[in-house]
Amino acid sequence: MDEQQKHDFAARLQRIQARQDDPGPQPEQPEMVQMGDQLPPLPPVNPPSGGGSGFGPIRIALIFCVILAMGSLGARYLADMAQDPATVADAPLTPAERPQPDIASEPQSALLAFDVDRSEPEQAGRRTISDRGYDHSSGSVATPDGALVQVADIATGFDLAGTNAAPAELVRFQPNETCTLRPPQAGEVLRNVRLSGANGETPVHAFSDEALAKAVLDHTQAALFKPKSYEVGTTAKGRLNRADVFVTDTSGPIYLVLQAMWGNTLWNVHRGPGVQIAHIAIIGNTSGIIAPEGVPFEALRITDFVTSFEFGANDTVRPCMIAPYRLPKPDWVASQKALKGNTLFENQMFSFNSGHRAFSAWYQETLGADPETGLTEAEGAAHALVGPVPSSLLGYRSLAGRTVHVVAADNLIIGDEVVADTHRAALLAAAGGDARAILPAARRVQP
Amino acid sequence: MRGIFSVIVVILMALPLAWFYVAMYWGFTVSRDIAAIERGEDVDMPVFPPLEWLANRGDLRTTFAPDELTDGRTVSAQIAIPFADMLEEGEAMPDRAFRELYATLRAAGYFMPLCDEMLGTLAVACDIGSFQADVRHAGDRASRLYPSDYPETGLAILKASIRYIPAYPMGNPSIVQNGYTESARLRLMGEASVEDTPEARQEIYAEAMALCGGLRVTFGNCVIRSIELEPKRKRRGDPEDQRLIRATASFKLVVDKTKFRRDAVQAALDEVAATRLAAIERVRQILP
Repeated sequence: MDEQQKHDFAARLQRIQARQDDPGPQPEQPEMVQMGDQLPPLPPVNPPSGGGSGFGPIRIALIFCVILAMGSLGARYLADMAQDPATVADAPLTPAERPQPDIASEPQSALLAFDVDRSEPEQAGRRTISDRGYDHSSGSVATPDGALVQVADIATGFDLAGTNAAPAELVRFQPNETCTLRPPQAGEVLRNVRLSGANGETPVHAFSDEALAKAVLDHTQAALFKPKSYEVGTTAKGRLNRADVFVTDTSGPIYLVLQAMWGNTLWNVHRGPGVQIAHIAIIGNTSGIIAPEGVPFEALRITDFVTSFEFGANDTVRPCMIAPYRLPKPDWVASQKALKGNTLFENQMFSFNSGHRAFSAWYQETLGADPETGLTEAEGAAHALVGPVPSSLLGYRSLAGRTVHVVAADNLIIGDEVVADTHRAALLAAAGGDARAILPAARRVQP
Repeated sequence: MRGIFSVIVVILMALPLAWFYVAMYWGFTVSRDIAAIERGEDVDMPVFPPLEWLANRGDLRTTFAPDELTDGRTVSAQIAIPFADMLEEGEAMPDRAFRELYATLRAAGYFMPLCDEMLGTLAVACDIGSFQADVRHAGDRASRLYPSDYPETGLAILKASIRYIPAYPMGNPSIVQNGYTESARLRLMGEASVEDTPEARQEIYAEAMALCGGLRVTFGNCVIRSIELEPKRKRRGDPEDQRLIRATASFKLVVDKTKFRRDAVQAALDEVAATRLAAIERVRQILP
C-alpha cells in the first residue's frame, strides 16, 4: 500500500475509533447494545488462574495419555519399518502394488461412485455476529435498520422442512455482457440488498462443462492412482443458495439491486401489498431469480469482469469493478480486531475499504447513486427485508413447482442425485461406454 | 510463562519415553542376532543401528519387491495422436471442454502394446501405472516438440508410465552391509535419437539390461528404475519427427555406504557404458 492509502486507512480507523468513543446520539447505538446483550459473553483471553500448583492430577493424566499415545504410534511405526535388513529383498516386503479399483462390478464400483451432496432442510436459527457482520440462519431476517426480525413477523407459510423444495423448471437467461445496468428512471426509488453470500438451501445446481470435466478427471485420478491428491467422488460445485427478499417499501416504484459476493445465489423475491417494483438488477456469480409477475430483471456475472477475488486485487478504481464489497462497520469483529492492531484484520479491512471504494465508483457512475442507499446488508442471510416490517403478513412462497430463471450455464440441474448421475454419464461417455477400459488389467508372461 | 513451563514438562516427559521404545527395539535386535550367532547361523549385523535403515525402506520396497508391480520400476512414453482418431467410428465429436477428459480416459489402451512388447525381454509382468492427456487445438501455443499447427479438433498428447516386474535378475541387496540406495542415470543408444519402432525399443531395453548387469557385477544388485522414451524432433515442421525417440535410463542400487563414495555408482555406470560401446565398436570392425 502506498503512503496515501495508509494515511486514508489510518484516518478511517481514527474516525471509527472517534465514533465508538462518541457517546452522542447515534441511531444504531441503542440497538447495538441490545444486540450485544443477546450475544453469548466472549470467553476471556487469559482464563484466571485457579491459584495453587496449576497442575491438577487430571491435566497430568491427560498429558501422560497423550505421551503414551504418541509413543505407541512411534513404536508401531518402528515395528512396521525397521525390519531385519537381511530380509529386505526377500519375502516380508509390504505389498506395494496399488489396490486395483473395483471396476468389475459396475455400477457399484468406486470409479462410478460420485458423492451426492444432499441439500438438507434448514435449521431454525438466529443471527450471530461474524468477523464481517451479522450472519443470519434460516428464520432470521436481514433488515435495513439491523432490527431483530423473524420471518414469521413478515410472512405466513414459511416451513423449514420445505425450504429445499424443488422448482418445476429452470429457464436460462443471458447475463448482461456489458457492465452497465438500466439507469433508474425519474421517480424510481433505489433499494439495495447486499450479502456476502446467501444461506438458504436449494436443490438447484449450475456449473460449466469445464467444471464437470475437471471434476470427473480429478475423481478418476483419485479413484485409480492418487487418493491423497484428489478426493474420490467429488463433483462440480455449483449449488445455488437461496435468499428470500421481502419488498414492503411503498415509497415509490422500486429499483431493486440484489448483490451477492460469493457463491451462486437464487433470489426469491416477494412483493408486499401496494409495492411496485420497476426493475431488478442482479450482481453475483451464477444467479437465479424468481421475480414477481411482470417485473423485468437483468444480471451481471462478476466473473465476467473481475477475475480474481483475492484481497488486494480489486483495490483500484477501474472500469467494471462490479464485485460488491460491503463497507466495513465498526461493530464487525474484524473492524474491532483491526483497531486493536491485529495485522491480518488490518489488511483485510483495508482491502474491504478499498474494494468498496472501487465498487462504489462503478456503482455511482452506473446508477447515479451511493450504493449505501436504502441498503439491507449482511454477511449471510436466507431472508432479507426491503422496507418496513409489514402490518399484515405476506404469503411465503417456496420454490416448489415454480419457474426459476438462471444465468446461462452449461449444466442447469434440479436434484442432488442428478448431479452425481451427470458426472457418471460424463465419465462413461468419455471412456467410450465401458469404465473397465479406462485401466486395462495387468499383463503377465504366461508360464 | 505457564505455557512454556507446560511445554518443557511435556518435552522432558516425552524424551525418556521415546528413547525407551528405541532402546527396547535396538536391544531386541542385538539379542536376536546374538542368539542367532550362538546357534551358529550367519548373521548380517549392521554396523550402524537399525534406524539407519528407516530412511530408505520405501525406496527398497518399491525398487526390489520381487513379485509386485510398483511405481519404482517404470517405462514412460508419450504418444501424439489426432484427437478425432481416438473416437469410435460414428461417435460424435465432444465439445472442446470434454476433449481432455475423453483423451485421458482412453489413453491407457494406447500404451498396452508397449506393455506387451516388454514381456519376455524386460519384464515378466506390466501394467499402466499412471496416465494423462493434453489436447491442443488450433491457435494454442506451439511447443518445441509440437511446433506445427494443431488440427481444429485437437491433437491429443498422451503420456503414461508402465510399471513392470523385471525379467532380469535384480541381485540380492540384503548381502550389502550398511546399504543405502543410490541412483545413476544415462542416455542410451549413444545419446542418439532413433526411430520409434518395436525393434528400436527392444534394443533400448537390451542396452539398459546390459548396463544394469554390468553394475550388478560390481555392486551385487541393480534395478532399472526407469526408462524414459522421450519423443524427439528432427526438423522443424516435419510431421514424421514425432516418430523419433530418445531414451534415458535410471538405475537404482543398494551399495555399502562405507565402501563407496556417493558418485561411485554413476562413475561405474559411465565406465560400463564406455566399455560396452568399445566392445561393440571392436565387433563392428571385426565383422565384415
